Amino acid sequence: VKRAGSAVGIAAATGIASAWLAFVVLVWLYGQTPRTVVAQLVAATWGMPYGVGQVIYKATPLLLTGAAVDVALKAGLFNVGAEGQLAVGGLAAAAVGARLPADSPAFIALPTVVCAAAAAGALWSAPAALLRARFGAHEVISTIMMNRIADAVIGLMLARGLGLAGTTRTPDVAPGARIARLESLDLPWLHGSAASLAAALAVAVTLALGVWLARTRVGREIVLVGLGPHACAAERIPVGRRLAQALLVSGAVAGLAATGPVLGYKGYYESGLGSGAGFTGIAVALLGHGRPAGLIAAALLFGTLEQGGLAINAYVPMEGMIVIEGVVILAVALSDARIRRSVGT
Amino acid sequence: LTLGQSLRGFTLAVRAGEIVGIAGVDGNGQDALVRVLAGLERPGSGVVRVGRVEVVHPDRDRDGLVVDAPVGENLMLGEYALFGRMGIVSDRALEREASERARRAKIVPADLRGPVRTLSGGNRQRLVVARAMARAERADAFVFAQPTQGVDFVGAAQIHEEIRRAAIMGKAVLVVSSDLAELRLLSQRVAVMVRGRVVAELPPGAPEARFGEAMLGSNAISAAGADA
Repeated sequence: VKRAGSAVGIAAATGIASAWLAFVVLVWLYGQTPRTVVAQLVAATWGMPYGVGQVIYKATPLLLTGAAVDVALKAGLFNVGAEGQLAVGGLAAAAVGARLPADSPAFIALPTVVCAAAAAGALWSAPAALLRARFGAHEVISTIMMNRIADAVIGLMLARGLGLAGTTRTPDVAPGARIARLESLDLPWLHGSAASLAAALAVAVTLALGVWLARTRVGREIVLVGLGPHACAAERIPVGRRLAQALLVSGAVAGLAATGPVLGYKGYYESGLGSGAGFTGIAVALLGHGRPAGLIAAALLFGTLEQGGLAINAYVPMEGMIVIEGVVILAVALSDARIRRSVGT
Repeated sequence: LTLGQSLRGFTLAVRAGEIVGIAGVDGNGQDALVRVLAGLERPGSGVVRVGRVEVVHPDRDRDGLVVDAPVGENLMLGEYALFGRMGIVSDRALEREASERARRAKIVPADLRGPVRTLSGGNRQRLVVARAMARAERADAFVFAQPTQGVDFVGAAQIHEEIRRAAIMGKAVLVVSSDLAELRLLSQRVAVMVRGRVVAELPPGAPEARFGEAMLGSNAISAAGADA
């Protein structure tokens, strides 16, 4: 279902303009000139191969959490739980990967751990899906709560069995469960960066979600339910089931978001790995505005800010980048009817 | 039938091929009746025996249409399962059927991809009526609530023709309208609803004063006694 192009343009432009404004104000507050700081930021990211690789690495989980939040938004639901879904997905991938025999071939090991991550993410969104479909409980509340529960449960599981004794990390996953780094694929110019083929997985999942929403009965009905739940119920579309399905798919995709850091970079899960991407994913989804290309662009933008934030830390504290993200969320939310609808129900 | 304060002992039978009108001052339970017949609300007590029913809802933009979705999708709302295989929607089949429906209902502009929001009230109404009629083969009964709201003279005549066609096809047809002239024009019987129940059943040719009396409820009980 297409939305009016102008409304999309206005929301995206509002987001980017306010991000720029917030950036300029921040930079001035710290007594710097925007031009210098931007030059630094660009040089450290797109200005060198390692920087490009790092931007891709940072953007990978953001694209997946962004796509996850977006699927829920299509149904008119606000999944604030990507953060927890990502974390349990990462833990599940690492825990399963570490238990695979060391000589398992990649074509078995990799799908297994990726499916484990998706399943764990979906499982973590299931209570919210069930509560919403059955009792109409607001998913914002339930998904936020599940984030806190994820923190506690992951800490507990790392301490009791899944973690290495005395640490907050899991054992290494079997080599077959690792996702290849981009530098190993005849791309030596990316040497040293943490970017992996998880980026390709993220793009593929994002595109596949777009096709699913556009071509399948369930996907199409999810979009229609998001736009007009009353009319859908009157025409016997199972509204509750479609809402639940949207949240479950959203959780599964968010669960995949930790595959980059866990399987592509570290090779194990440790407490806090990938954290933050769940919330930044909300900004990515809002700015990307329901289009796969928009999501990819928004993920790259925030990936650039996260990576660039490290480089300009000397001028402006990198927490400033979080301020910018917050401003984008606010600005786009104000001009985005989808949020108005979600909060209104 | 009962439903909270809206329906209190409502009873009515409509035969196949018959058009029965529901008259009454707005807010006497007509909307609740439609929602119960549509299966959107479960009655507090009583049973609805209608088989498969197609409903044109009184709140068209809320219950009838997804106004931000394209015209074509709205014409086919809820029918994806019939167009496509293994969960994949066949856009070609869907668009062929949608454009056929749009053509028959004379919806303008004929752009199936534009959102319903761009259509006039009359075109929106023709859309929901056309959708219901397109499913006639699978339906046993029709409920048309406020079928010509916001529709011009020609459009109303066209919709009345569709309502009669439903009855000729052997469907049981219930028309709920706040337009008494419309009900008298279409129906074989007109039931007057006051406070959630039928207080009178009048032939369409009955004098207007008798409808007025029944609807205002001053003689509601005696009128029901006289005609029941």
